[in-house]
Amino acid sequence: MVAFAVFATFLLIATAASATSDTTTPFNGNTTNPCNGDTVAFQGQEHVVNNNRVNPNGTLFMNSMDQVHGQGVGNPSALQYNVGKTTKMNGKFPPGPVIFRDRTKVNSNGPADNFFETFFFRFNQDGSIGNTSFESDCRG
Amino acid sequence: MNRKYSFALLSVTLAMSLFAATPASAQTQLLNISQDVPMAATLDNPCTAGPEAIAFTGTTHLNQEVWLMPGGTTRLIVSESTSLSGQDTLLGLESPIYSATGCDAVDVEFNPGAATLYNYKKVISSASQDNFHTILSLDFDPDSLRLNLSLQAACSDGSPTSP
Repeated sequence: MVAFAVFATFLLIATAASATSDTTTPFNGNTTNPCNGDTVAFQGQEHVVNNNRVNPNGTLFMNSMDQVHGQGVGNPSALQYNVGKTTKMNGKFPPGPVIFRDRTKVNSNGPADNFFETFFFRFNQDGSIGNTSFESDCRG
Repeated sequence: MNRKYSFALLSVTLAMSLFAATPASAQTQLLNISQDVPMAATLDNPCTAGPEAIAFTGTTHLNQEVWLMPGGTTRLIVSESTSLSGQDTLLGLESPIYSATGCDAVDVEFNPGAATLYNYKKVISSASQDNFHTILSLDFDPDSLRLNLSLQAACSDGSPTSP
């Protein structure tokens, strides 16, 4: 009887977990165009659909999509900058957090140099969404 | 200064300069390869009720980098371009031509161990207009650091469905 109870408890613990969500979140913040020194005040929204699950052994099955759209005005150039990106993330990973990086071009509507933004999409060990951050560069 | 002392001083100086040239936060590249991988698989279109045996052949051009990150995690950077075509062997010469082409790039960091990436490619044919996709599976072997490629069929483009 004791052995059965222990086994039943183990089965409950071994059930696969899932992290599902569909969220749209506004964002704003400043970034620097490293190609010309502009400070760009961005605002936009991030739409994330998350359909991840974790197997009993901790393996993370990822099925996620992240859409980022934003616009900003550069200072001192007063130029308009636009960024838009859809990132699909499908894979299977060892137990633990996972980070996806996605580098995309930020386009300006004027003679200022375009630049690149790398988005860091972080996922927790349970498949839930962690924080998203970004950094800019002027390569390529 | 005797020779033994000079050698020891030189060794320490060299070690210190090497240490100084490698920041503690540096990532270490373990692999950087570019190759063409021949692909072949016979697939059924899961979007249709009837059976098919579509014999796809083609090539995946693969660029792969593997990095050891400061925290001990693995960073896998993959870009690939795949071109496939095939015919349904059940129909023989009457089969339409099925083709699937596409490029994908993934940059992902995870704990050490085996991992798999799934890249979806839309299949186009004159026979049907459905959601038939091939899935290019890239299985990462943590021992060899290499990717093993294979193909499966799906009736989805890999986008997650809302809960």
